[in-house]
Amino acid sequence: MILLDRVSKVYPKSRRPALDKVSLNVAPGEFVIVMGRSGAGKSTILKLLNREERPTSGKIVVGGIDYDDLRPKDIPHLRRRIGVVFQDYKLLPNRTVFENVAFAMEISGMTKQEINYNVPKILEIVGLADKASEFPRHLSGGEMQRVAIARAMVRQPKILIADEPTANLDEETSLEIVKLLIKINHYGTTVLMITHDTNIVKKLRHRVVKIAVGRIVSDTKGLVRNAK
Amino acid sequence: MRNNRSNARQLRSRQTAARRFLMWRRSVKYGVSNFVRNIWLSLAAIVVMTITLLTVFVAGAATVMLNDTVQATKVEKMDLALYLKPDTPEDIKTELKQALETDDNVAWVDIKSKEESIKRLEESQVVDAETEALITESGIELSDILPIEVSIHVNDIYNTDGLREAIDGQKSQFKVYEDPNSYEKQFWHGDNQKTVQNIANLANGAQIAGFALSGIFLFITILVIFNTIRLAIFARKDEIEMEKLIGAEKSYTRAPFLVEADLYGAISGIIAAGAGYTLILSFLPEVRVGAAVGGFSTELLNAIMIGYAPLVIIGIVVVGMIIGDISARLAVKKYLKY
Repeated sequence: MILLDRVSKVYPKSRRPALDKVSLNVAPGEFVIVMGRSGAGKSTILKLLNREERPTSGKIVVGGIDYDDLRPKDIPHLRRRIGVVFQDYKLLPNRTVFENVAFAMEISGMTKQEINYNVPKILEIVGLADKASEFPRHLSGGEMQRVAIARAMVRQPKILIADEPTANLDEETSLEIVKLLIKINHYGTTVLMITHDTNIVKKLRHRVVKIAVGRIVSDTKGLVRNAK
Repeated sequence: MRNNRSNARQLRSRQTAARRFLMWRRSVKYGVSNFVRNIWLSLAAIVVMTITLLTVFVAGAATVMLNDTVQATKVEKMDLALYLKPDTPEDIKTELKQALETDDNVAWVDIKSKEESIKRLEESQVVDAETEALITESGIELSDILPIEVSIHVNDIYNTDGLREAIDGQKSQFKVYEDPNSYEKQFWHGDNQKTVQNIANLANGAQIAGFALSGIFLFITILVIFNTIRLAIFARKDEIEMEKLIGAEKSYTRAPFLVEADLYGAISGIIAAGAGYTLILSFLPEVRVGAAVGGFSTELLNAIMIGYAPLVIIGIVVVGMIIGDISARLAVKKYLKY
């Protein structure tokens, strides 16, 4: 489902690569945690997968799409196939919870009927059915993260990438968010969770890929190799 | 099989069209919402654009009036005189008139009657009392010796070479009827030419001033709308970033800004048309009096303003929308990186 083959990324004006020949293979339906400290290169993986950045070298294939073949006009289409939960939520402050989630469907050209059918359903799944008409400023951190997850999931993508979904949340709320991601994974969605929260990782029995200074240092599934 | 494929294709194309229409409606909705959200900036942009459109409108109206005046004066007051022998038969005169009127530059040809020629001669006071007495004594009728004047009214005073060639070309056919003494006297009436020249200069000057003023306001408007859209883009920076990251098409993100600028243009166009019409129509009687005194023609202006009012209003609105659209596209191209 997700394949990174000897992927390197060197940012301009940077002395060392953010990613150094990283190879990672995530199977369909898998729940994978990419763990590492700040600056380890975790967010670069997200940026590469969402095509915010291009790799300096290496190959990326997601859901059968080879990124080398992507034309600029194909990028929006690719992004609509991947659900992304951002660390800072990226919610629209002047829109309600319903409108924030609906927005993801609107930009995909879905009709009002489709929106009115799907949005309440996904809000029910993330436990925010009663907050549909609230504005983000009236929500807690955990609730905002749930809205972000709902927005990422409402188009029913095959892949969900969550970037630090538990950052800025207390332990209890973090656990609830992770449980929600696991629930989504049980529906068949491949989940890639990027985190630096070791406490959360310890509580989970999922594949953990550790990354440090741009290189994969361990992979609990043992399928990861670091090219030399 | 082939039918199924064709049906599927038709269905897909209908779905694509429906989706495009839906996205367009949403863009318009967000454009209107941006407009309301930045209401003070929007109002400022509308005021500046209204002044520009009003300037263009008034300058256009003045240009129409002055050009109409030049044209009317040229045709009414400028003529080329050609003289025929007094005994030229009627059919030859008619033939000559028809031949001359085939020239595109000829508005009409007027062949003066003998009575008109005598009256004109008397009015011109070229013949003094002594000469007149001599003519009367000799028993010669003035009408028998006066050449027949062919007055040729032209559209373009600066373009008479073709006409001269046409007259010369006709020479052989009409040669025998030419008045040998007066043919060479074909002339432009000196004073009229000066009058027309003065009005033409005024029209050209007004046109240049109108263009210059419109150009300055146009430049200011483009800058103001460009800046308004730039600020709107900055104000929605996070939203645009989010739209981009979750897969919005570039055109979808861009469209509301263009709609917003088109709205400025449309609203400004309506206000400018209303203000322009109010201004011109309320002063039209005064304009007419002034025009009559100054020798200006308001006929064409009146005909366009009244007869083509819907077209004029639509034209101003469209010009406003084009200005808004161009300014917004420049801002979007520069600041909405994708």
